[in-house]
Amino acid sequence: MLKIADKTFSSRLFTGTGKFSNSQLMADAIIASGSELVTMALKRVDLNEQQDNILGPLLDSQLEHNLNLLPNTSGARNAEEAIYAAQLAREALGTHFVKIEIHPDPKYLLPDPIETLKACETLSAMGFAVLPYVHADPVLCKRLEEVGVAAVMPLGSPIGSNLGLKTKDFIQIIIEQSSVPVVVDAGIGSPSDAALAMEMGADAVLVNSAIAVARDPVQMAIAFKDAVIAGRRAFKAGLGGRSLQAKASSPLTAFLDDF
Amino acid sequence: MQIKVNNQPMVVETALSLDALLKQLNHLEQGVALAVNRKIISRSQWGSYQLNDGDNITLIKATAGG
Repeated sequence: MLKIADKTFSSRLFTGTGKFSNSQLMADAIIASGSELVTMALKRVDLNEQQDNILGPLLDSQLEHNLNLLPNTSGARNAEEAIYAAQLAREALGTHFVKIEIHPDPKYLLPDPIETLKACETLSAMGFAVLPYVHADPVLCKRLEEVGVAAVMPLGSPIGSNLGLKTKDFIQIIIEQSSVPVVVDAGIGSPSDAALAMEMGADAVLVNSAIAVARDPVQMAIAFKDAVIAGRRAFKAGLGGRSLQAKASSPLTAFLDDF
Repeated sequence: MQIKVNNQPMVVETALSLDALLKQLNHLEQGVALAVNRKIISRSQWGSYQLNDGDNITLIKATAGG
């Protein structure tokens, strides 16, 4: 079981609610994934627009499927805005879990480490369970741990890029050094990427786009679920060492020498 | 008196409570949160909180996102 702050999770696949073509498909895919922690964003209510209820079907099945909510601070450009957004999220959704996302640049959506550290320090002191989205920077992850975050969420590659674990070697260092759970977030494009992260010893992965934009999101959610279970099992079983040279797996006795 | 909700100006009766405002706006549903002049007001206080002329209300809700 994975424990983050005061919650335990039997699934190590976290999912996001963005980019699904409709709300029922979103709910079906997330439930099929077995995920127990689901991210969502905040927005200002548009008074001129008909009320959208895109999260409706998912929130309706929240209790039945043990879904915990992880609101994010996407849209915040600095620590002050993220702290404000986190408090609004806690009010709106009744959870002290928050994903800190501060990305001032819309092209690559890379997180601002300085503002993230500031926001995490304040929010951790206020009693939030803080899960920061960060670059795969081992030094930053240790600093975040010192200010009391509940987990760290290093990126594999830019959000929504589906490029996989471009930061693999640095994620490995983070996993080796971390004393809080490591959740690989962003860029995981295929179940094999998720399996790789889990084989490396990540505590969980967060997948959104790769499921949401698949031709069949429900089947893709199941594929990710299986991959995460397989990767975790492989990590626990202990992978064999690697070598540039062959190491025979069959006996090399010369039984054909008689010919 | 005049207030703003998410930057949209509107004229409302004096001494309106937050509860009454949200009822008028048809946004008393679960999953919304609000701040008055950037100060977050928890749902339990909406009934007793009276708005003042010039107040700026931010009304947010959860939406899809990763």
